Amino acid sequence: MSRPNRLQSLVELMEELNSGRMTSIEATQSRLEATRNWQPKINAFISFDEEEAGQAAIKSDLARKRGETGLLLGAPLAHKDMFLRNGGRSSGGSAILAEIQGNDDATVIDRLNKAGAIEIGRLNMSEFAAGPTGHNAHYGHARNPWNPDHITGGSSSGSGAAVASGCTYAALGSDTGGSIRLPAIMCGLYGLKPTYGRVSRYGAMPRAWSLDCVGPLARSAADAALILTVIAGHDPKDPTTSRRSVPTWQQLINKPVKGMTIAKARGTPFGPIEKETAEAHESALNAFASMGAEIVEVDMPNFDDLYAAADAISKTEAAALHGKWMRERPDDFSVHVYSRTEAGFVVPAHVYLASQAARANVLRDFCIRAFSDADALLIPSITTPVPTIAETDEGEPGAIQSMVAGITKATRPFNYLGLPGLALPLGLSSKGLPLSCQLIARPFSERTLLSLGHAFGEMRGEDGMAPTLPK
Amino acid sequence: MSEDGSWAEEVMKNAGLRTSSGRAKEIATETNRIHSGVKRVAATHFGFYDEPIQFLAALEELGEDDQ
Repeated sequence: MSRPNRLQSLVELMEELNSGRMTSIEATQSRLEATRNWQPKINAFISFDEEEAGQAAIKSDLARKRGETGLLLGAPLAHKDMFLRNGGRSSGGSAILAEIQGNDDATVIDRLNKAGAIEIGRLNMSEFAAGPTGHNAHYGHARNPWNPDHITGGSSSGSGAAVASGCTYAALGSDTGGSIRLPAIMCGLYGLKPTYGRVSRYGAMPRAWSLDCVGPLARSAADAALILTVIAGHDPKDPTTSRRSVPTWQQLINKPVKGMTIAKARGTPFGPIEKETAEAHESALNAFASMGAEIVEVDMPNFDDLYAAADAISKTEAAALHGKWMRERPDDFSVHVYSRTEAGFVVPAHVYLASQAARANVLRDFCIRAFSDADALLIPSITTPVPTIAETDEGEPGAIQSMVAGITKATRPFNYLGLPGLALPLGLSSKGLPLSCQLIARPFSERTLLSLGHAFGEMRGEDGMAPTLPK
Repeated sequence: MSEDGSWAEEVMKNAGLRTSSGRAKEIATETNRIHSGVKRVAATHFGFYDEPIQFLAALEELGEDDQ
């Protein structure tokens, strides 16, 4: 197989813009051209506005000439279509939310705007951020740039497809059960689910407020670090956000791997893993060992039970959020979202509350198991190759539930634990589809995760691999 | 909870949602799976709970100084 071309990273773009070697207009036009080419193949965008993006780029270049600065000044980005905009509409991938006009900007959008980022469009997503595949009955399924017959992963499906194809330099996603990590995993990207409370959710469409996190999908760990630096930090509008200071992560990701300890799970806590995926996982551990990390084995808890605890919370909170519409407008929901929310009306209140009450102690127990002697845990992300759209195109509620559980079994438990997780790309399979694993660390250890991701990416030299535009 | 689904059907109907006996049975099975998993995870002791405050405090307590 020939080696794919390489796409410019966001960090490299900012160096070009800051040095004057490139203008925002040039960068924006090139991404719009990529979008025009790719959109018919992968359906990554719900909408994009070339005129508006071009005007924003002109303003950005003028601002730079006036001496204004910003960590993302002039960078053309696009995000999952689920963030509130003052005077604008965000679909949430649904037929219902598109009717509602926003009256404020989401905090993450406000922070990106203040850093000078440009927005070229709104990205496709699973309806109401509730689906791990990228299927969408209202706006069409997103398709994987590495092979459009395959799913992108979801729910931040357009974010995965748009970043991997090069339509945008990076994108925001949200993660309630794996929705940042899964599209990153399946599209060959870095996807960072920050610690619960690291990034404000104010103005981000909720799926389950006790689990939701907002974070970046990017083509390098350094790009993810740059976006995180801009969006993280306490927000009075989201009282769950931590008051910890926000470091300039992109300057801190050179933490040496030598001297770190990486844990791996004893046995196969998520069940059997497909051979090529398991080999990639093992080769990642070997790569970290070759960089000087010590590898240790640890016992994991029963992830099926942590999954159930996460389900108790996500389904119940989703039912509370969607109940009115499910009663009054059931036909405006796809069977995927409707059926996956129904159990939330039936789970008893004491089960929901028991799951919540146990969370702190379960987290303590997990940290003792995994991180007493280790800085991070390297663990599988999905246990199968990236499925096709046809393989996951289930129509019956029972089959949908099984399919979702199969895809999210290694991601959802970490939302219950609130821990940060990084999807780490491990190259391509023999069929040309992305392989990956997850790195998990202690709360607020994003620096550790990004440093490990950065070191791994530098060593492999495969960040930014570009898929070929299908004919 | 029984897996015949009749109780789930009643709850769904009381919530104003359309359902069928067959679907209610599936929902009952799913709910029982969740309940069983939570029981294994959450041996809730009698005491003071005030979520999400205690969970947020645990995240802070267990977090490293990542600067």
